[in-house]
Amino acid sequence: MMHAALFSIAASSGLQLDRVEVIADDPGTYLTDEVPLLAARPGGTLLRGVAQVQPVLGWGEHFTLGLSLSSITPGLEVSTGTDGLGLLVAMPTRLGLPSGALIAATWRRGPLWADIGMRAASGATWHAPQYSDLRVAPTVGIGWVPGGARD
Amino acid sequence: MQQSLHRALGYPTRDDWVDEVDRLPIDDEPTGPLPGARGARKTISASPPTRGFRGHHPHRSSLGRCATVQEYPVGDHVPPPRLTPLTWTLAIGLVACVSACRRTSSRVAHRGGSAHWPENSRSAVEGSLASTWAAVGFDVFLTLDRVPVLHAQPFLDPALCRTVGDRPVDEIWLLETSFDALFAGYRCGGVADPRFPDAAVIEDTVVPLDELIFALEAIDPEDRPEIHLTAGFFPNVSHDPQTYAAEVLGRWALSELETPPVIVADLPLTLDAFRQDGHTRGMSVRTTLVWPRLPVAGGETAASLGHALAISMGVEDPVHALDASGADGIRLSPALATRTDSRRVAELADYVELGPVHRTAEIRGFSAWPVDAIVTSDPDQ
Repeated sequence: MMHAALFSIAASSGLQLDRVEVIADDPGTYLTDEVPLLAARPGGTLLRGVAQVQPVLGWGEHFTLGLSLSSITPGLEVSTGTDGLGLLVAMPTRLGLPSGALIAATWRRGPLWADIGMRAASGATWHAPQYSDLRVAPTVGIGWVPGGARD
Repeated sequence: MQQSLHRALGYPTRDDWVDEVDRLPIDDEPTGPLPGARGARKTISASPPTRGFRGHHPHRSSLGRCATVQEYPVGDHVPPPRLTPLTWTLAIGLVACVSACRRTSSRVAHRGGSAHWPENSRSAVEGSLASTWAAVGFDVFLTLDRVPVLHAQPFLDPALCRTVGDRPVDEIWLLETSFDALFAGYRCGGVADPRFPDAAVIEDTVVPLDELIFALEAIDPEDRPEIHLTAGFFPNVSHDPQTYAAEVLGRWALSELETPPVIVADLPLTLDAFRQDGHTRGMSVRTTLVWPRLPVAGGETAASLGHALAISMGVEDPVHALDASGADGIRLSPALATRTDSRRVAELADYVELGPVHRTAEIRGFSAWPVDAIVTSDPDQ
């Protein structure tokens, strides 16, 4: 419901779909934690895969907002142009509660978006908003860019 | 040319390596049996482990399934290794084998090992206690006359039980049925369990907890497995938790068994009742919280999706649930918990279990998670 509200707010405020991250940086554990269980429980792994797919809205030149079932991630992406390299800084949240931070180098070419970087993730929840278990790990994201979204 | 380049860069060459091997002393000391090999004597900890099951169950290792030992003849000259594609393939295969077969967690037999015999049955009690399994779990409910019986649901499971006249059972609630009526009128285990097609089909009466206690007393104390009892208290369809705890632990206290059972439940108030009752009897009862709590029958899918969403958004939290329950350990649902969850609760819990899981691939996959035990219907896997 919150996502639907955010989407409707986004639509009314000039936001547009920037990309869809098929492998998202947040929570960023799908490749390491879930994919190894694909053979063991394909249904569950696919559901977790769907839950982490992140449509990312963009407004202005640099600001983005990722909305998946797993997280809400505001970010700032600076790039050299429509195609080419860029830099992404984002703050993944769990229903608005910051759960970590992300910095990554991005790359765009046509419909392909990819990034590689480092993320600091914690298990902070609304019940226990603590960051003592913060872990830093590499992250990879792959996304699809609908034609001319940022043009 | 290559060797010259290596020498110029200061790396050992192939000839240097051969000379080094020739100078190595030959050690042909016989090696002893692998610790933890199948068949090794089982040791049960009489006191709660500080970090769960690690190191308490020597037969948990299954490395022997993959490991092969090959002796090479020792001669005057050892040929240098050649990294052919075959060598690479074998090396990668070995790494994959070790990774796949590495077993880092112990096993708890779910419902007495329901992959082998009917769950919570007399056959399960006898079979699991005759095995070398280090930990065995059963479910307990109270009948109308407060007799604890081994059964997984607060009602006779219509999928597994029939009347003595071989008719299907309807809604037979244990809370409304005396033990004598259960014993005289119903049989369970005589219907094949579609989840475990290889399990034996053996029709038998519902088993009272007393039989499990007697069977345990008949075993040498050192060979007794750790018993996990899932106390399935459900509000409105069960006796109150205090009665539950008194009937279960009271029987245990009267027995010769020194180690109390590990109590497993999905409601903190059930665990509280058992802890308090154990305290009054001078028993140190370990408790395990099942997380998250799912409905007993029907609605599991919708409930699971709701839990999954709440967990991913940080609204439900196993660390908070464990902390609030006061339990010693936690049993995570394999369908809902994430690897991150298991890592986080491991920092707080004395031990972390995950289960039940039944398929071999699942057991192997989850064994790589940071958990102390996998709850499974077939602990031999």
